[in-house]
Amino acid sequence: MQIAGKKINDILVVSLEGELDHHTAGEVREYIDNLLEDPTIRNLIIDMKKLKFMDSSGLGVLLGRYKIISRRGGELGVVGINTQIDRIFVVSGLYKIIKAYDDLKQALNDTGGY
Amino acid sequence: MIQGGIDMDKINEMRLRFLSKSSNESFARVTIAAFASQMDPTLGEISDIKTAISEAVTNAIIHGYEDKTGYVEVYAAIYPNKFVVEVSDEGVGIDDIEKARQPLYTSKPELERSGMGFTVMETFMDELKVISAINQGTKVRMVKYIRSSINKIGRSE
Repeated sequence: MQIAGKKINDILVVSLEGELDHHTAGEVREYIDNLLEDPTIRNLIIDMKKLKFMDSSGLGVLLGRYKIISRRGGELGVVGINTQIDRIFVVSGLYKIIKAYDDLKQALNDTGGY
Repeated sequence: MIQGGIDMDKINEMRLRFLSKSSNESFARVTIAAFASQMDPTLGEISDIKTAISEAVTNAIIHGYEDKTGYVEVYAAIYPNKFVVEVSDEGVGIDDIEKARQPLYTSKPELERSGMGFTVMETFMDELKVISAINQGTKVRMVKYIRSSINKIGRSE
């Protein structure tokens, strides 16, 4: 799993490359939570363009980060999810709380990053 | 059709046995998906199978063996129009299967589990059966009907 993070204003953008399952969930969770210790971060965007696979362990990671971000009054968005991950989102009802975008620019615009 | 104990409809089968280590989750789903690909499934069908196997194997590792290490076995069989996969462990077993299958139910909320594993298996596959006994283990049997495979796979060789 390759993870990269950058801060744009009050938005944390995290890019994931690889597969998000139970094996990689801990690493992703720790990485994001470390960066979220910065109290000036209000919103989180996870770029999943290069994420090939996600199962319900990934749902757990997203829901946990959603809780942290919503406590700060912010939003969680995801970018570029593939059809396999889309199926997981639909089944779990994740679209009700997490916004999905086709590209990062759109996500940043909507979250007030530009 | 079953003749003399041999399932005549079965075209191919395989068995995989590995340690309950999380690094084997991707190994299992990729291997089984590669085996299933000889049925010429659609990309959607193959990714459904992959996701369902990932859920079942993860359950075996996290819930079946908890902090211990044991063996997880995955059996897969190809029939003219369906793919059968069974994921078994010899772990602690499930006390209340009906409760375990409820969406959002998790016995390990502290691990940030979503409780959606069985729901995903149920939705992505056509049939799901869970057999479990306390301290003896759990077997999850799943069936996926592969529409595209009918008449495509030769019965010989």
